[in-house]
Amino acid sequence: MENEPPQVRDPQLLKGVLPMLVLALLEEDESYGYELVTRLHGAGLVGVAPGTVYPVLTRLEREGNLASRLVASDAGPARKYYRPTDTGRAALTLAGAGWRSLAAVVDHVLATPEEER
Amino acid sequence: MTTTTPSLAERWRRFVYLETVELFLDAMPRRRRRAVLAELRENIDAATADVGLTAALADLGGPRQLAARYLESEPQGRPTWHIGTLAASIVFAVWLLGTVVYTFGMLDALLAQSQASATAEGSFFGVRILAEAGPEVLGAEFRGIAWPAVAAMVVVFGVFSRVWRLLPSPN
Repeated sequence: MENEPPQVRDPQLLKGVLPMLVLALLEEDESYGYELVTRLHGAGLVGVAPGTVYPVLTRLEREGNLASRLVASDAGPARKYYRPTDTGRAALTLAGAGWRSLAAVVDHVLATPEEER
Repeated sequence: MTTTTPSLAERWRRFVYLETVELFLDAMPRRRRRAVLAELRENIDAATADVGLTAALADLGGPRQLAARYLESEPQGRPTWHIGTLAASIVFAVWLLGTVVYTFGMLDALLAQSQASATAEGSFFGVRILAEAGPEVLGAEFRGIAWPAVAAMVVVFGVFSRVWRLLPSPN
Protein backbone atom coordinates (compact mmCIF):
# COMPACT_ATOMS: atom_id res chain seq x y z
CA MET A 1 0.00 0.00 0.00
CA GLU A 2 2.81 2.44 0.93
CA ASN A 3 4.57 1.84 -2.41
CA GLU A 4 1.48 2.47 -4.58
CA PRO A 5 1.69 5.77 -6.52
CA PRO A 6 -0.97 8.41 -5.70
CA GLN A 7 -3.89 8.20 -8.09
CA VAL A 8 -4.93 11.21 -10.16
CA ARG A 9 -8.38 11.26 -11.70
CA ASP A 10 -9.24 14.94 -12.35
CA PRO A 11 -9.54 15.18 -16.15
CA GLN A 12 -8.77 18.91 -16.25
CA LEU A 13 -5.53 18.43 -14.32
CA LEU A 14 -4.57 15.50 -16.51
CA LYS A 15 -5.26 17.33 -19.76
CA GLY A 16 -2.64 19.96 -19.06
CA VAL A 17 0.18 17.62 -18.07
CA LEU A 18 -0.54 14.69 -20.35
CA PRO A 19 1.77 15.65 -23.26
CA MET A 20 4.65 16.16 -20.83
CA LEU A 21 4.01 12.82 -19.12
CA VAL A 22 3.69 11.03 -22.46
CA LEU A 23 7.10 12.40 -23.50
CA ALA A 24 8.58 11.46 -20.13
CA LEU A 25 7.42 7.85 -20.24
CA LEU A 26 8.41 7.40 -23.88
CA GLU A 27 11.83 8.83 -23.09
CA GLU A 28 12.29 5.98 -20.60
CA ASP A 29 11.12 3.34 -23.06
CA GLU A 30 9.33 3.37 -26.40
CA SER A 31 5.72 2.13 -26.47
CA TYR A 32 2.73 1.75 -28.74
CA GLY A 33 -0.56 3.46 -27.92
CA TYR A 34 -2.37 0.96 -25.71
CA GLU A 35 0.82 -0.09 -23.94
CA LEU A 36 1.47 3.57 -23.09
CA VAL A 37 -2.04 3.84 -21.61
CA THR A 38 -1.39 0.89 -19.31
CA ARG A 39 1.95 2.44 -18.28
CA LEU A 40 0.19 5.73 -17.47
CA HIS A 41 -2.36 3.84 -15.37
CA GLY A 42 0.44 2.03 -13.60
CA ALA A 43 2.06 5.36 -12.79
CA GLY A 44 -1.12 6.47 -11.01
CA LEU A 45 -2.95 8.28 -13.81
CA VAL A 46 -5.96 5.99 -13.59
CA GLY A 47 -8.28 8.72 -14.91
CA VAL A 48 -6.59 9.00 -18.30
CA ALA A 49 -8.58 7.36 -21.10
CA PRO A 50 -7.15 5.80 -24.26
CA GLY A 51 -9.33 8.17 -26.28
CA THR A 52 -7.39 11.05 -24.71
CA VAL A 53 -3.92 9.56 -25.14
CA TYR A 54 -4.08 8.51 -28.79
CA PRO A 55 -4.82 12.02 -30.17
CA VAL A 56 -1.97 13.38 -28.03
CA LEU A 57 0.43 10.89 -29.63
CA THR A 58 -0.75 11.89 -33.11
CA ARG A 59 -0.35 15.57 -32.32
CA LEU A 60 3.11 15.18 -30.77
CA GLU A 61 4.28 13.22 -33.81
CA ARG A 62 2.89 15.82 -36.20
CA GLU A 63 4.64 18.57 -34.23
CA GLY A 64 7.94 16.71 -34.51
CA ASN A 65 8.23 15.84 -30.82
CA LEU A 66 7.84 12.11 -31.42
CA ALA A 67 9.24 9.71 -33.98
CA SER A 68 7.61 6.38 -34.74
CA ARG A 69 8.44 3.02 -36.24
CA LEU A 70 6.27 0.10 -37.23
CA VAL A 71 6.96 -3.27 -35.65
CA ALA A 72 5.44 -6.36 -37.26
CA SER A 73 3.14 -8.23 -34.91
CA ASP A 74 2.36 -11.96 -34.98
CA ALA A 75 -1.16 -11.31 -33.73
CA GLY A 76 -2.30 -8.77 -36.32
CA PRO A 77 -1.38 -5.46 -37.96
CA ALA A 78 1.99 -3.83 -37.30
CA ARG A 79 2.24 -1.79 -34.10
CA LYS A 80 3.40 1.80 -34.11
CA TYR A 81 6.03 2.45 -31.46
CA TYR A 82 6.83 6.02 -30.37
CA ARG A 83 9.96 7.62 -28.97
CA PRO A 84 10.82 11.32 -28.41
CA THR A 85 12.92 13.16 -30.94
CA ASP A 86 15.58 15.70 -29.95
CA THR A 87 12.90 18.36 -30.28
CA GLY A 88 10.66 16.32 -28.02
CA ARG A 89 13.37 15.94 -25.40
CA ALA A 90 13.95 19.68 -25.42
CA ALA A 91 10.21 20.26 -25.07
CA LEU A 92 10.12 17.80 -22.17
CA THR A 93 12.95 19.60 -20.37
CA LEU A 94 11.17 22.92 -20.80
CA ALA A 95 7.82 21.53 -19.71
CA GLY A 96 9.38 19.85 -16.70
CA ALA A 97 11.00 23.09 -15.58
CA GLY A 98 7.73 24.94 -16.03
CA TRP A 99 5.86 22.30 -14.04
CA ARG A 100 8.34 22.40 -11.15
CA SER A 101 8.07 26.20 -10.98
CA LEU A 102 4.28 26.04 -10.99
CA ALA A 103 4.22 23.25 -8.43
CA ALA A 104 6.45 25.29 -6.10
CA VAL A 105 4.13 28.29 -6.34
CA VAL A 106 1.00 26.20 -5.81
CA ASP A 107 2.53 24.41 -2.82
CA HIS A 108 3.53 27.75 -1.33
CA VAL A 109 0.07 29.30 -1.81
CA LEU A 110 -1.66 26.24 -0.35
CA ALA A 111 0.66 26.02 2.63
CA THR A 112 0.95 29.69 3.55
CA PRO A 113 -1.93 32.00 4.57
CA GLU A 114 -2.08 35.16 2.40
CA GLU A 115 -1.16 37.56 5.15
CA GLU A 116 2.07 35.69 5.77
CA ARG A 117 3.19 35.55 2.09
CA MET B 1 -2.14 -10.72 -23.00
CA THR B 2 -4.02 -13.59 -24.67
CA THR B 3 -4.97 -13.47 -28.29
CA THR B 4 -8.46 -14.62 -29.25
CA THR B 5 -10.20 -14.54 -32.59
CA PRO B 6 -12.91 -11.86 -32.50
CA SER B 7 -16.44 -13.03 -33.22
CA LEU B 8 -18.36 -11.78 -36.24
CA ALA B 9 -20.46 -9.56 -34.00
CA GLU B 10 -17.33 -8.05 -32.43
CA ARG B 11 -15.77 -7.43 -35.84
CA TRP B 12 -18.99 -5.73 -36.96
CA ARG B 13 -19.08 -3.49 -33.89
CA ARG B 14 -15.42 -2.55 -34.40
CA PHE B 15 -16.08 -1.87 -38.08
CA VAL B 16 -19.08 0.38 -37.34
CA TYR B 17 -17.11 2.29 -34.66
CA LEU B 18 -14.12 2.87 -36.95
CA GLU B 19 -16.30 3.84 -39.92
CA THR B 20 -18.05 6.42 -37.75
CA VAL B 21 -14.72 7.82 -36.55
CA GLU B 22 -13.55 8.00 -40.16
CA LEU B 23 -16.67 9.92 -41.17
CA PHE B 24 -16.05 12.55 -38.50
CA LEU B 25 -12.35 12.71 -39.38
CA ASP B 26 -13.33 13.91 -42.84
CA ALA B 27 -11.51 17.22 -42.32
CA MET B 28 -8.17 15.43 -41.76
CA PRO B 29 -5.89 14.89 -44.81
CA ARG B 30 -6.57 11.48 -46.30
CA ARG B 31 -3.13 9.94 -45.73
CA ARG B 32 -2.99 10.93 -42.07
CA ARG B 33 -6.60 9.87 -41.56
CA ARG B 34 -5.83 6.38 -42.85
CA ALA B 35 -2.74 6.12 -40.64
CA VAL B 36 -4.76 7.22 -37.60
CA LEU B 37 -7.47 4.65 -38.31
CA ALA B 38 -4.96 1.82 -38.87
CA GLU B 39 -3.27 2.63 -35.57
CA LEU B 40 -6.61 2.96 -33.80
CA ARG B 41 -7.69 -0.44 -35.11
CA GLU B 42 -4.52 -2.03 -33.76
CA ASN B 43 -4.91 -0.36 -30.37
CA ILE B 44 -8.54 -1.51 -30.16
CA ASP B 45 -7.39 -5.07 -30.84
CA ALA B 46 -4.74 -4.80 -28.12
CA ALA B 47 -7.29 -3.42 -25.65
CA THR B 48 -9.83 -6.07 -26.65
CA ALA B 49 -7.34 -8.83 -25.85
CA ASP B 50 -6.88 -7.20 -22.44
CA VAL B 51 -10.33 -6.03 -21.32
CA GLY B 52 -12.79 -7.11 -24.03
CA LEU B 53 -14.26 -5.14 -26.91
CA THR B 54 -17.08 -3.52 -24.95
CA ALA B 55 -14.70 -2.00 -22.40
CA ALA B 56 -12.17 -1.13 -25.12
CA LEU B 57 -14.74 0.91 -27.06
CA ALA B 58 -16.20 2.44 -23.91
CA ASP B 59 -12.72 3.61 -22.88
CA LEU B 60 -12.31 5.36 -26.22
CA GLY B 61 -15.51 7.31 -25.79
CA GLY B 62 -18.00 8.15 -28.53
CA PRO B 63 -16.57 8.02 -32.08
CA ARG B 64 -17.60 11.61 -32.80
CA GLN B 65 -15.93 12.87 -29.63
CA LEU B 66 -12.79 10.87 -30.36
CA ALA B 67 -12.61 12.32 -33.87
CA ALA B 68 -13.10 15.81 -32.40
CA ARG B 69 -10.09 15.30 -30.12
CA TYR B 70 -7.98 14.24 -33.10
CA LEU B 71 -9.12 17.31 -35.04
CA GLU B 72 -8.56 19.77 -32.16
CA SER B 73 -4.94 20.20 -33.07
CA GLU B 74 -5.20 19.99 -36.86
CA PRO B 75 -3.46 23.01 -38.46
CA GLN B 76 -6.49 24.44 -40.25
CA GLY B 77 -10.03 23.52 -41.11
CA ARG B 78 -10.54 21.58 -44.32
CA PRO B 79 -13.78 20.94 -46.18
CA THR B 80 -15.65 17.79 -45.19
CA TRP B 81 -16.51 16.43 -48.62
CA HIS B 82 -17.76 13.01 -47.45
CA ILE B 83 -20.17 14.53 -44.95
CA GLY B 84 -21.42 16.95 -47.58
CA THR B 85 -21.95 14.11 -50.06
CA LEU B 86 -23.82 12.08 -47.44
CA ALA B 87 -26.08 15.03 -46.58
CA ALA B 88 -26.82 15.78 -50.25
CA SER B 89 -27.57 12.08 -50.81
CA ILE B 90 -30.11 12.18 -48.00
CA VAL B 91 -31.82 15.19 -49.62
CA PHE B 92 -31.87 13.32 -52.95
CA ALA B 93 -33.33 10.21 -51.31
CA VAL B 94 -36.05 12.27 -49.60
CA TRP B 95 -36.91 13.99 -52.89
CA LEU B 96 -36.97 10.64 -54.73
CA LEU B 97 -39.19 9.07 -52.08
CA GLY B 98 -41.52 12.05 -52.21
CA THR B 99 -41.76 11.80 -56.01
CA VAL B 100 -42.54 8.08 -55.82
CA VAL B 101 -45.19 8.57 -53.13
CA TYR B 102 -46.77 11.47 -55.08
CA THR B 103 -46.85 9.38 -58.27
CA PHE B 104 -48.40 6.39 -56.51
CA GLY B 105 -50.96 8.75 -55.03
CA MET B 106 -51.91 9.98 -58.51
CA LEU B 107 -52.19 6.43 -59.83
CA ASP B 108 -54.25 5.34 -56.85
CA ALA B 109 -56.62 8.25 -57.32
CA LEU B 110 -57.05 7.42 -61.02
CA LEU B 111 -57.80 3.78 -60.26
CA ALA B 112 -60.28 4.71 -57.58
CA GLN B 113 -62.30 7.18 -59.62
CA SER B 114 -62.89 5.21 -62.84
CA GLN B 115 -63.03 1.65 -64.23
CA ALA B 116 -61.75 2.88 -67.62
CA SER B 117 -58.24 4.05 -68.42
CA ALA B 118 -57.58 7.60 -67.36
CA THR B 119 -54.65 9.99 -67.32
CA ALA B 120 -53.69 12.81 -65.04
CA GLU B 121 -50.99 15.42 -65.07
CA GLY B 122 -49.26 16.79 -62.03
CA SER B 123 -46.09 18.46 -60.89
CA PHE B 124 -43.75 17.73 -57.99
CA PHE B 125 -40.86 20.12 -57.28
CA GLY B 126 -40.51 21.09 -60.93
CA VAL B 127 -40.94 17.61 -62.42
CA ARG B 128 -44.04 17.15 -64.60
CA ILE B 129 -45.70 13.78 -64.01
CA LEU B 130 -48.08 12.24 -66.52
CA ALA B 131 -49.81 9.28 -64.88
CA GLU B 132 -52.01 6.75 -66.68
CA ALA B 133 -53.99 4.02 -64.95
CA GLY B 134 -56.61 1.51 -66.04
CA PRO B 135 -57.44 -2.19 -66.42
CA GLU B 136 -54.70 -2.72 -69.02
CA VAL B 137 -52.20 -0.01 -68.17
CA LEU B 138 -50.39 1.40 -65.17
CA GLY B 139 -47.52 3.83 -65.65
CA ALA B 140 -46.09 7.28 -65.28
CA GLU B 141 -43.93 9.54 -67.39
CA PHE B 142 -41.58 12.13 -65.91
CA ARG B 143 -40.45 15.29 -67.67
CA GLY B 144 -38.28 18.21 -66.66
CA ILE B 145 -35.67 18.79 -63.99
CA ALA B 146 -36.46 19.23 -60.33
CA TRP B 147 -34.57 22.51 -60.01
CA PRO B 148 -35.70 23.22 -56.43
CA ALA B 149 -34.43 19.79 -55.35
CA VAL B 150 -31.17 20.31 -57.27
CA ALA B 151 -30.71 23.70 -55.60
CA ALA B 152 -31.45 22.19 -52.19
CA MET B 153 -28.86 19.44 -52.77
CA VAL B 154 -26.23 21.94 -53.84
CA VAL B 155 -26.87 24.16 -50.80
CA VAL B 156 -26.89 21.22 -48.39
CA PHE B 157 -23.70 19.84 -49.95
CA GLY B 158 -21.99 23.21 -49.58
CA VAL B 159 -23.13 23.73 -46.00
CA PHE B 160 -22.26 20.25 -44.75
CA SER B 161 -18.97 20.20 -46.68
CA ARG B 162 -18.11 23.56 -45.09
CA VAL B 163 -16.97 24.63 -48.54
CA TRP B 164 -16.06 28.12 -47.23
CA ARG B 165 -12.95 26.51 -45.72
CA LEU B 166 -11.49 26.55 -49.22
CA LEU B 167 -11.19 30.32 -48.90
CA PRO B 168 -7.82 31.60 -47.69
CA SER B 169 -7.73 32.38 -44.00
CA PRO B 170 -7.68 36.12 -43.15
CA ASN B 171 -4.73 35.44 -40.82
